[in-house]
Amino acid sequence: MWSSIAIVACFVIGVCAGRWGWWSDKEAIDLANTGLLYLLLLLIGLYAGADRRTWTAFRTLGSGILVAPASAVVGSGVGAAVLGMVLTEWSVGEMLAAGWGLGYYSLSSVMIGQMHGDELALIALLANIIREITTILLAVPISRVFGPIAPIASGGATSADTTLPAILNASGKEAAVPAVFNGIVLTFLVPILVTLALQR
Amino acid sequence: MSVLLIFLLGLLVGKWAAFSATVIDRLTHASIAVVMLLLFVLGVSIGRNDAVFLRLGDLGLVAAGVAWSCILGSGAVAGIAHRWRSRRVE
Repeated sequence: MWSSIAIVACFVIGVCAGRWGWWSDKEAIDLANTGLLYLLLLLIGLYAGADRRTWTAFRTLGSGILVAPASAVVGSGVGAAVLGMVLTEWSVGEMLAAGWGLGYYSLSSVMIGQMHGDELALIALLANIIREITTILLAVPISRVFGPIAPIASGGATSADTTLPAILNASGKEAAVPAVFNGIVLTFLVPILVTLALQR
Repeated sequence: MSVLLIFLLGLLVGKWAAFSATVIDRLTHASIAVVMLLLFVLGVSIGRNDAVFLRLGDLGLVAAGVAWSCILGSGAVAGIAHRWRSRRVE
């Protein structure tokens, strides 16, 4: 929880720095953005590749354990696509990119900022923070209305960390393994899905 | 696409390099530090951009719409899948 607050605080300090002109060299900002994004993706790749759970998760696939990540990807895709059709200002691909951040707000927003622009990056950042907070606050009603897998799918990539306690409270201890699996698989999928959505 | 290639390169190197637990721990800390720097830079970029900054309210509403439509969509698909699997088991 504290790391999430620290991460959001860095963003807010950045907004203040930009607003009050503490850092106004646009070329340096763009260069820092590109270099840091490449470094982050390399680090996440190294970390995920070195983590045995990533590969074990893919090797020990049973059809049941795939329900949560498949629901998160398909459901978020459908929800975001419908919104993209309703809102005239935003295309389906743009809404898909924000929705397929799947709660991984840090990575999805910086990827979208680099590949598309600041407005959509801000939407992705806020949308995925709201998704995380809503899952924490409403996991119990979500579970009652849609069943025990729904809070896991709702938490998206955060189901392995920040939203896990709320998911266990709503869906029971037996949700722990599918929730962690869901978080690992979706963390792996977010960079791929966001890139695909913006290629449309 | 270069972003995706770098991620896949890291994934393969991570798989074959067999890092120790200490190195993996350092990678985690390094990635959190880089995320913080990146969000700071994203914040600077948004703070400098009047067109975005002055529309924070509108963009926040769109963001809430994205978040809640994704939660509803995910919940609905998970609910349908759960009921379908329960019927198959019965």
